[in-house]
Amino acid sequence: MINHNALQFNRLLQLCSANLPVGGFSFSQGLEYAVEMGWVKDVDSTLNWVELNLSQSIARTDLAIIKRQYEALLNNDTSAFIKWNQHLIACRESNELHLADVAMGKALIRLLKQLDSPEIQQGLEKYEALIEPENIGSDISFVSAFVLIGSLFKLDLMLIQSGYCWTYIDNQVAAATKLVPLGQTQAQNLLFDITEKVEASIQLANSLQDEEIGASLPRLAMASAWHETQYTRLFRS
Amino acid sequence: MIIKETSKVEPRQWLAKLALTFSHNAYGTQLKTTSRKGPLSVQKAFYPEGQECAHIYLLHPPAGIVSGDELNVEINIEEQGHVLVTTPGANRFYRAREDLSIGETKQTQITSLHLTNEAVAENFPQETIVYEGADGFNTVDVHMCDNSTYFGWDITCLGLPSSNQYFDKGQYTQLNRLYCGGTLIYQDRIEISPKNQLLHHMAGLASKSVFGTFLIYAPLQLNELKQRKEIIEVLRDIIDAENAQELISITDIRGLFVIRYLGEQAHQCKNLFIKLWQHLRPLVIEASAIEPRIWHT
Repeated sequence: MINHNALQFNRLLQLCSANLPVGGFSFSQGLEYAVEMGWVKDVDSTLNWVELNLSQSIARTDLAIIKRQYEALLNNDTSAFIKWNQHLIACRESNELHLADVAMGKALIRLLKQLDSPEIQQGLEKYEALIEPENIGSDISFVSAFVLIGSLFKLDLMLIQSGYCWTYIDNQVAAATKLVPLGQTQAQNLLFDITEKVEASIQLANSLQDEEIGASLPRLAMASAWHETQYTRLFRS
Repeated sequence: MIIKETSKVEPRQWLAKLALTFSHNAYGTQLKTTSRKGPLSVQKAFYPEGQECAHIYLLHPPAGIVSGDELNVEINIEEQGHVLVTTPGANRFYRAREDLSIGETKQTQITSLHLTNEAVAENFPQETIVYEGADGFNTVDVHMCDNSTYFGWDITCLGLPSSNQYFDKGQYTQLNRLYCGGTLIYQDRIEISPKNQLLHHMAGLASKSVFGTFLIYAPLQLNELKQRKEIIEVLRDIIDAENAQELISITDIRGLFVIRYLGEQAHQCKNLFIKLWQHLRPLVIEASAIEPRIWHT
């Protein structure tokens, strides 16, 4: 933790805040169907569900690619950044997971464009080749947008990866709180427990070779696809 | 380091490669070239539905893959060619060797399909049985362009539960990748290993022994969202009529249909996939689905 100042930490907190208007809270990422089926029904099963997703799917896909995109930005390697953006989108195994990723990515970029901060505006100008769909030939993943902003805020890799994990965990626990449902104290206990796995997930992610990237969770992918036809839904699909 | 001559053991392994190229002309689709090394081969093409579509059976007489084996199948389909590929029986990844002094444990199969303009591939191998203690790695790479058509499935059985042989030991990775115009548009990598909890976890395989994925991508024919929504609805009705709602999921990721099965029986998975294929094939390539005869022998 060298060279971090109070402003950087505050920028990180702002980026990871539940108040960031990118629509993360409109997606449950398969959790709503898992609750409907009774696979997730209490604190323990929520912990189990979110933990596996974090330590397998998120670690081996999102976190591993964050590292590569962070390095691509350091090296001004535009084509590597774009390639990994495409790879992220290709790993989304259902329409819901795909939609959540690109809708949040788009919302984050749209939000940034509306901000007054000269720091942000200069950054967006600098990275124009990496964010405009016509330049990159596809939508931007939320992960890519997150790395990009993290880099603009001069956050190091570990902070960006930790922040991304927090965003995911906070989101899932909030969804579980509504769906399972859970009490406020139970939700806070869950946050304590799940975040214990963040360090190991980042370490795993950073140890992977390119060809080891990607980890599907078959029944989570199926839950997310079945969610599209679930009779009553709180979350988008 | 000095290696003693006596300690040298010839590793027992097959490095097999089969590359097929199909061309299309006024006489239909023809197997133009075959290049082979090792025990992989094909019979001549069959034409049960006329000259346009060549049916090909991939033959692997050892019928299974052991440690050190690397099987590489490459299928090239030139402009307007149409090929249906299948196998006469189940593929097998046997228990990996435990004696590391005679070579590594890894067992590999790589299938790649290359589709040029207006080419159609239907890749329907029979199920892959992964024995307890295997160390298998099965990759299917599809390279297509935005006017080619791909239908393909893989069906994996972990262990032989009907003979009380479960898959509590061993590892297996199934990697499916689909590239269109050189861009990766879908990657699905399922890694089952004692190191992760995938086999028994509710979000993983939930203790089911058979999983399958059926991919359909026809960017030209299925380019309208409204049309795709109607098709998906009919596919879901078919699954409902089969009472298989809890076995099959269907999703449309920007025009790529991803159909998954998770259950206990390879033949059930195959039958459900065939039912969906029978509905889809006429819509996408204007030909009714003719099941290869070998599926019934």
